[in-house]
Amino acid sequence: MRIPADHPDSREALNESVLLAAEVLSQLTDGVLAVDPGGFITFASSGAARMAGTALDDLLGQSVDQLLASGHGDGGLASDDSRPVCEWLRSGRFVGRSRGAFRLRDGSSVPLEYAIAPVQCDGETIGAVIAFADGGYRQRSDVDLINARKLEGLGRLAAGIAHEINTPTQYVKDNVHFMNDAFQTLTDLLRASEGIIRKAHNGEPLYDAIRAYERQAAAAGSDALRSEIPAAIEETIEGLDRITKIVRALNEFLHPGAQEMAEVDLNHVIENAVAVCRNEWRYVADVTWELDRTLPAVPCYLGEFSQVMVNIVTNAAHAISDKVSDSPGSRGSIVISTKWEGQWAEVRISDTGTGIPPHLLNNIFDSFFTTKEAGRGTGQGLAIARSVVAEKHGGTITAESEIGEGTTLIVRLPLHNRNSE
Amino acid sequence: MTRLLFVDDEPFVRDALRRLLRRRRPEWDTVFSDGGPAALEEMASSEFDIVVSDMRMPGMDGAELLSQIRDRDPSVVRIILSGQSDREAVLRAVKVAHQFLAKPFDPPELEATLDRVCGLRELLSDQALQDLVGGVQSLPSTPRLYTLLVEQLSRPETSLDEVVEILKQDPAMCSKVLQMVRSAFFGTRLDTVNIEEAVARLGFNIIKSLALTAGVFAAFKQADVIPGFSIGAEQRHALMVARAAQLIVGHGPVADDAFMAGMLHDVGKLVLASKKPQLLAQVLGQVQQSSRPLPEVEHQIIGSGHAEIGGYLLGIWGLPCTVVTAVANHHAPARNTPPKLDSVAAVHIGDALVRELERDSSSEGVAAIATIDESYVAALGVEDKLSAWRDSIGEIICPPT
Repeated sequence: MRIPADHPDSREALNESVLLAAEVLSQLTDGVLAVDPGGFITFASSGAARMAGTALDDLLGQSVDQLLASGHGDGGLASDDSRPVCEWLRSGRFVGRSRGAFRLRDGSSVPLEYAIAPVQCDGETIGAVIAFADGGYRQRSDVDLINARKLEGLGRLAAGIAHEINTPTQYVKDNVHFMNDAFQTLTDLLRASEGIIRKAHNGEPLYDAIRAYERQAAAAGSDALRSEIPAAIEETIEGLDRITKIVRALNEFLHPGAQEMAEVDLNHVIENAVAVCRNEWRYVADVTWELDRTLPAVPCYLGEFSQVMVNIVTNAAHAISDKVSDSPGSRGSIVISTKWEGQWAEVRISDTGTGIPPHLLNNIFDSFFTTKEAGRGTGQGLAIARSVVAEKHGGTITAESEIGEGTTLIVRLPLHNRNSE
Repeated sequence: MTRLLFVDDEPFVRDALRRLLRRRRPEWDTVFSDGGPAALEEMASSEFDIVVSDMRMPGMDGAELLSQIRDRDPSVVRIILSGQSDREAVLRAVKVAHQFLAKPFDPPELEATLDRVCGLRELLSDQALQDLVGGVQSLPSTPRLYTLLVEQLSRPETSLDEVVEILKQDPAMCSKVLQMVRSAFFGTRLDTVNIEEAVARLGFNIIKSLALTAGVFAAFKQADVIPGFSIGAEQRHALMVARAAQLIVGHGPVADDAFMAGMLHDVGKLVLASKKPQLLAQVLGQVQQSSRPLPEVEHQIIGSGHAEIGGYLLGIWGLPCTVVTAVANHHAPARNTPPKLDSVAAVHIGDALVRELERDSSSEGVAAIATIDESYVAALGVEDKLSAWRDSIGEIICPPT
């Protein structure tokens, strides 16, 4: 939010719009606070007062850090020395949707989500606006949304898989029909040559029969058939292998066992997931593998972790597609590596895509955060990834990025799961 | 020789198609490109009759390629053969493609489809018509509602609800379909139905025909005022001929084809009205002056008739062969041998009888004169049925109140 110092409005009009804005803000059910550079509350909406369980007037002048604590997950508070608002005020940066809580006077806390936007005047931070939403309500709806997103992801995946199966099926069918025709042609030729042999046995003149045979063989293109048939067989086998591979990968994905934690070969799981979403990346990028084959078995929810890999690789492909779309014919690269690091298995997925601006890098794991145009993503992919990696596996997921160069997602899974010990 | 260009980024798909179509070599010259740019280069250096393209390819996709081909040479028949068959892909493709085929497509059926398109070129063997169609800026693509319905109906166990759902997605078309149901079945219990009832009572195939016709009539804009021609009157006439043709062949799948052919039998006139209005005006003027049959005048002035033009258009849209033949031959049914009481006969007789009745009931001069081919009717052996048909059709046109 920027207010130019030389605002053209007259003071009166300004006052009027301030009154209107205040009226609008007071009607919001979500809470809104404004603070000065010292972190003291200068404005509070009635929604904020309701959430804080206090009178509006009591909020004004209070230090926001006494009221608001940053934190994660189910409303648990972070340590007292984290002072999110003051910290962020100094940096003058936006804070995307974060989890936190209001500390109430009785010592209890109210989980909520907040976002902070600095207010600047001529490049100087003169305060901040903090918006709140009730965390309990949001959390419930998050579960619904994540489920919806999973279904959406599956639907897209299904369309991609259909394409991956339809293409080889097309050429397998064409080849089999070709081989059927070719077999007929060759059978006719065989019959003709048998006729010649019979004539030879009977001592009949062969010249005409041989000439006829030669004409028939030339018309059938028997030389071409001799090279085309083995190629058709080879490509048919290759096509069936491709179909088998994707169906098998999908089976592993959806197998009931995949919904429980088990020790898995992480390299294999990742290879499978990347094969399943091949349709997303094959048109824009090549995948390079740098897998650590010494990696021990990793405790893993196979189904969900595969979905995480699909989401990350799909994002990588989209970032590359945005970058190469301007220069036809160019392709990007996705490098997938695994590494055994003491008690951890580390997976890195690097792309040569558009990259993420530094000020957004903190937000990419937030629900709804997306830079993709409508219809290409709902901003749930990485939020699910974080929840699966951090909450279900006790691992970490982080990102490194450079604008114009690309992004690397780093997923670390513990080799010994705390839950299972 | 027919020249075919296949475009697919997957080398194995190209290899297999090349092998499959190898034995058609004397009649078909096949060329294969690995993508849009290569295909456009091929098109620049030589002429093609048919292009079959994959949809999803790196760089330029199939829809983009076909739209460029349409702009360069509209007479090329454009077909998509796509591994993606989700609704979005179909919709994107049908904007520019004449036909949408979903992978995996049966190889014999692919050959048959290409054969049919080649056959159409023979239908238009006379140079004049090829020039006319080639000169048409761009033939309209298959109406999308029809494409969606065909796609849905190709799935086994399609439910009534799913079909109604598709119709309702396009409210304008849906109401046009209903309007046609009501006027075609005016005087019956069907003249007040809603869309669910219409689909349930008339069946999927009739609804499909109506959706196609609604799309066709919506797609063609009459460019100029043409004396003796109005789109509204054409649509009414089409509906009556459809009912008449259905009545003539009786029940079953043949009746569905006859209905569709009846609905679309004069679509060639719409092509002329929107693309060559002066030519059509000249033809209709001549017919009015000389009282000679319309097809004769058309052949004299244009070199071919609206029947052949319509048949050609429906053919490259991939409509059933029986419908295409019936439309192409509705003024010259004897070309379709041996004579039998199929949709060709039904549309020919239906059209002639409806024209007769329209002439009797209307004070304004009906320019298009369709006369019944007496010897053809005799060959069919249905002379004795004519008067009963005439009566029944009369009831359709002016239902007893």
